[in-house]
Amino acid sequence: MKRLKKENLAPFLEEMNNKRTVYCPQSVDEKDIILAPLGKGKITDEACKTSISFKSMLFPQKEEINNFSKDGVEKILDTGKTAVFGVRACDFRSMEFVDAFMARNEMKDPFYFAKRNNILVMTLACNCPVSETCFCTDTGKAPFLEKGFDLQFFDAGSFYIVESQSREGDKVLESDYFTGSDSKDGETLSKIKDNSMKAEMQAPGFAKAVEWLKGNEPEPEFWDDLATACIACGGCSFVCPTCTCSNIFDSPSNGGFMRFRTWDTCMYEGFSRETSGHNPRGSLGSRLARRYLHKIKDDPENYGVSGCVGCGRCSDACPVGLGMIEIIKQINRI
Amino acid sequence: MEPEVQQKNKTDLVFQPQLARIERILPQISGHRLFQLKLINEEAAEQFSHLCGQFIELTVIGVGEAPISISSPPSRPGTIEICVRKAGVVTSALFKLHPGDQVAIRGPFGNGFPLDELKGKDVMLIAGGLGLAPLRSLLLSILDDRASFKDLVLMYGSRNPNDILFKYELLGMMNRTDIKYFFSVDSDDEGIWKQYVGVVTGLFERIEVNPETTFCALCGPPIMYRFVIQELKKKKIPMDQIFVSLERMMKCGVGKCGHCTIGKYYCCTDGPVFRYSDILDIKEAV
Repeated sequence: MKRLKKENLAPFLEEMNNKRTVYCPQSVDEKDIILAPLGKGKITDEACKTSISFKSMLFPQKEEINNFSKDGVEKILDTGKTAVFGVRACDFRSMEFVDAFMARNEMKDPFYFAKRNNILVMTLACNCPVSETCFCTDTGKAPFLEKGFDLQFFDAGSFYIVESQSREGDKVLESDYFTGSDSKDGETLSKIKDNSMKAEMQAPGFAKAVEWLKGNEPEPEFWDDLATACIACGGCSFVCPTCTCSNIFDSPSNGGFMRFRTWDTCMYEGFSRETSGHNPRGSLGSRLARRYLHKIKDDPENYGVSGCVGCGRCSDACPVGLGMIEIIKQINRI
Repeated sequence: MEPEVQQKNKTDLVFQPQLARIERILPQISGHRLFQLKLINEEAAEQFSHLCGQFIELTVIGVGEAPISISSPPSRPGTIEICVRKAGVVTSALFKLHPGDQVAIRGPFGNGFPLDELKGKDVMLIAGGLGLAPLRSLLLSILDDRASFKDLVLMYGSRNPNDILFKYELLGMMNRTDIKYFFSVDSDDEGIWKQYVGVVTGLFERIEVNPETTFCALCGPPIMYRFVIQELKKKKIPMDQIFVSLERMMKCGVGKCGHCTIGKYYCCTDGPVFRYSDILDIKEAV
């Protein structure tokens, strides 16, 4: 355990930026706080949730995957070293979820893991909910991590208390910006953790709904009713840290062709439509059912963990007030 | 269902198209052609093996990629045969290509029919339209190892007598006594059809099956499954002896892109062949 004075955060990240491209939440053009490469904006101390999680670093909105040239077809693997600071516990868990998904069936996604194997993730625990839509504790998890991380930062006022759980993390803590911890830091940490667990969050019925879904499923009409409000914009999926549906398309490039992979969403009508015109999910209601049920019904069944980490971004992004928080409420009313 | 054969270095193959050459193009019925493909890399061509019911992701270079089932049986390696309907952007571009032209393929993907489980059993193949394409792979596999299976029945429904795929191949087998054929056509405007006119389910009145030993494999248009399965239920065939090959928008083929999900399953990795008893409760499955 070590300490980092808050005034030393920026110099520390800049020092790291010499070795790796460092991303952290920044206020860019005095607008939203977004995850951006260091130097793009101002590092802020404000407790925040970036509008898009750091999934975009590992699974970009658009990426080149294959190059078709006269020499053949090659895979394009981005193995640049990166680091990210300020990842919340919910987003870290979403990465663990996506790691497992991208590696299942012995078919590791090469493009994801090229980036994943070269990223250093520094998490920042939440002392309290950082937005009105947070509900991680309702999903049965804590606003901080118990295991699996390299480095975890806790906000202790004028400084951070930093824990390492890996050799990679230990190496980072060798930087001169970190100082030894005080004998009271352990106690402070316990207090921060206890307090963070006490906060009331937005989806207290989460566990009840998930339990009910184990043996039940809402009728199609339930989803059709909700679909009257949904405008199928797909925002919920794009901001979701565990959503990794993608599209693939080819485009001319340098005398050959480039194959791209982009984000896609199961909320779009054409998502599952086959060339014949047959569409197994032609109705918006059936697509809403798919989007929400696979997170909290199928994923627990398939992988033993919830596909929803309680970040609340779908509820932030939805222009018509759906999103997981509302869906949970509605399921509990059945 | 688990794939029966684990490929070597699976991860290396994920999202790695391999160049292939169109060897021959055989005309089928209107709007359908059989393409014979061969991987250009000789080592890769030699190593390529598949299961009946598996599919490939076919790239028409510069146009895009589409999932296409393999029509040739594993027992006849070397050439990959795909029976394609000209339907969308990729297949329309494919129809403009000629023998000698290059395409790229990924795969084979999916699980395929459980051939070993069918051994020693009566097998009933039920195809509608282009659904014969993946079932042809199974049909030829069984015929190439005919002694390992008991009674073999093929039921094939087409729109009209001019829409029968693999017509000459099927005609060539007509003299065999070790396979029973039942054909149906939805309509026969020209009045040339001597056999059954009507939907494929009408053929079930003409057959007797032993439900204990009969295993079925189905592939056809989406509407077909529910009605055929009703008939199979009437014949008392257990639901876990029915295998359905389902079509979905299988974009990546490796269980990543999410387009082909059926309930908790991914059609491209858990399917496209499903044991019907496994998907009974999934409303959107058939």
